[in-house]
Amino acid sequence: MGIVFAVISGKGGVGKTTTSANLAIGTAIEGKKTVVVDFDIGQRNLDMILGLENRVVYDITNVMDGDATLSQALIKDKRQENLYFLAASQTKDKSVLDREKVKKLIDQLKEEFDYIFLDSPAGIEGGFEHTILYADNVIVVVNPEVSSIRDADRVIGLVDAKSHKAKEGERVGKFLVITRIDPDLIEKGEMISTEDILDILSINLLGKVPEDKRVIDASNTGKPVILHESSPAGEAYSRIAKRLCGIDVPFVDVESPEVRGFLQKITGLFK
Amino acid sequence: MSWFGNLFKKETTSAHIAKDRLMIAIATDRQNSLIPNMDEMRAEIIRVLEKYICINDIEIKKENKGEVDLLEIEVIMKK
Repeated sequence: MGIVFAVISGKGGVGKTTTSANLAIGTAIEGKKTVVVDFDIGQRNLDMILGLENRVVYDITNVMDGDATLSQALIKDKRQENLYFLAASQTKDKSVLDREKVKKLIDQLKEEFDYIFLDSPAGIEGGFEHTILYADNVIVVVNPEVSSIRDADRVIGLVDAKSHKAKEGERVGKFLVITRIDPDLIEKGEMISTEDILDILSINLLGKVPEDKRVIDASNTGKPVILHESSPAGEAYSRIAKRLCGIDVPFVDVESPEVRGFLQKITGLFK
Repeated sequence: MSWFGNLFKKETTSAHIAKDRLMIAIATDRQNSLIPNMDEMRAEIIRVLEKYICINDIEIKKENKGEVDLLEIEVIMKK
C-alpha cells in the first residue's frame, strides 16, 4: 500500500508546486515508484514545472468522471524511471471534486504506487479539503515571512479537523519544509530563523531549502532543481526526499552565509 | 559583526519583532478558530436553546485539562 503525502500551504506562492515536483523526483531517484498529482483544479501548473505540459492528454477529472482510465491519464516521465504524473484539469473548477471520487482515485493510486504526492491548491478553499481528506501525511510549505507562517498555522490547525484518518482516531503526520531561506538576511536579523518558526508552529521539521536563483531557471526550462548540478535548493530537496525514504540524513546548516560561501568555493573549484 | 555587537542586536532585529508579533497573532487566531465552522455551530446551538429558554448570549471556550480537551459552552440567560 502506498503512502499519501499532501503538500499544502496557507498562502500561495511559497513553493508548493516546486516542492511537490522536486520531492517526487527525489523519491523516484531513491527507487520508490512515485506519482505526483496536481490537485489544483483549474490552475494547472505542475505540468510546466515538470516539463511535461506537452504530454498531457487526459487529466484528473477525466479519470474521476470515468472518461479515461487511470493508466491512460498517467504520464510516465522519460527522464526519471519510477516517476509518474497526473495533471489537473485546466477547464474545470474546484467544484468538480467530490469525496467519493477522490477516495476512489487515491485508493487506486495507493495500490499502484509506493509514494503519492498531492500538490494542493493554496489556502483553505475547495480543493484543499479534498487534498488532505485521505492523506497519511501532510507536508506544510512555508517561507520565513510573517503572512506565510501565520497562514500555515491556520492550515495545520485544519488538518486534523478535516482529515479522514484523524477522524478514525489515527495520527496524521505533519511535517514542515521551509523554503526560500536567505542566509544573509538571517545573519542580519532580518529574516525569521528556523528555530523561531518551529517555536511558533510547533511541528516537526522535514527540511530547509535555501533561496536559489536556479529555481526560476528550473521552471523556465521545465527541469526541476533537484536535477541540476550544484544547486543548493536541489541538494536540499534531495536530502528531504531521502528522509522521506527513511534514510537518516542530518540537517545541513543552510542559514549561515559562511557555510554557503565555503560550499560555493568548493563547488567552484570543480566547475 | 562581533559577538559583543550581537549581544545587543538580538532583541531589536526585525526578525525578533516578527516573531513576537506572530506569537501574539497566532495565539489569537487559534483561540478564534477552535473548531472549523464555529459560527455555524454557535448559531445552531443558540437556535436550539432558544426553543426552551430565554438566553442573552453564549460563550464557547476550548480548554485542555490534562488528558482531555474540554469544550466549555457558557449560556448567559436573560434575567
